Amino acid sequence: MIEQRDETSVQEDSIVSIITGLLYPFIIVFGIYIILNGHDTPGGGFQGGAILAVLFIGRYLVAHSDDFDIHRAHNVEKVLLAILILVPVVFVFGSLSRSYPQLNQVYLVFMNLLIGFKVALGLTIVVFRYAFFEDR
Amino acid sequence: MIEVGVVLLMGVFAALTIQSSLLRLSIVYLAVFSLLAAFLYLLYAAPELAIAEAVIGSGLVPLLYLAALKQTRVYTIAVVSEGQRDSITDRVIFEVERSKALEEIKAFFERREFEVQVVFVNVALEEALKQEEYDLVVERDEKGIAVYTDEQSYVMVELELMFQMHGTDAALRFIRYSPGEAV
Repeated sequence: MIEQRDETSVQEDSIVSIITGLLYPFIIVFGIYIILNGHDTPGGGFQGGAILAVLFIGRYLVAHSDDFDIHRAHNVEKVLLAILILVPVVFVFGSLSRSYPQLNQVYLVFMNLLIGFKVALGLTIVVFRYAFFEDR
Repeated sequence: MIEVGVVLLMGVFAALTIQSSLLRLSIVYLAVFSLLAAFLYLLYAAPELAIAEAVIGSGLVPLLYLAALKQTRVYTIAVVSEGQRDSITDRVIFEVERSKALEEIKAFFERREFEVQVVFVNVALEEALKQEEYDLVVERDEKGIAVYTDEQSYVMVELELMFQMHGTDAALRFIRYSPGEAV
């Protein structure tokens, strides 16, 4: 008889959350596939990382979760950036690529993985920072 | 040949993005525009770019815009009925929800990008006016609908002006009060 809607029931949408819940595993597999196969098919670290970032951000929009630790993600991203600079320096200037040519493939995949996770974390942090700390 | 069709469609969706009156709809049009752009890159044999465009243009950017839209406020209109408690019946709800005045008030705030929600509350008018969570209090009685407006608020002045200039519902009245005082 009395129409009363509280804020949570207005904002949550069960259809959207169930469908995105079903899609999550496929998006994760697709993103990781694009990162890992980036060196010989279209795609690569940046594109796969962006797909993974979309996953995290979509999860925030659908589930309104605020359990994402931005500071920890920021620290992990800094460590990834350090490794991202160190690995090419060691690999190229240490002339490992010439002495062990069979390592080239491993090097490419490893760099794509690093770039992918760094891009995913970076884009997620940008959007989360905007969503949480911007004035309402 | 197919490129021309895709470019024309992109133009259509670009125009729709600008012309649409709802921001949510604009975001969807923008996502479709980006998807078409990705398809165009694929036609011009640039699959790497196509993947990046598809992911960012129709995944990341719409989500960012949606997160921005979430920051907009929810505007709550509380409807009370004259008389004692428990005077809100199904009949009252039916009448008020179909009244032209409420339609126009809702349209006024939706044009200002508010998310409007209407709640029917079973308390006296004075109590409803004291509640912080109600942005606008509307009282319904036999004569029609009375809108209680905060005299400090310029949005309310605008609303009143709009109804004076081309309001159609004569049963709508505006009553000014200053918060903290008895009505």
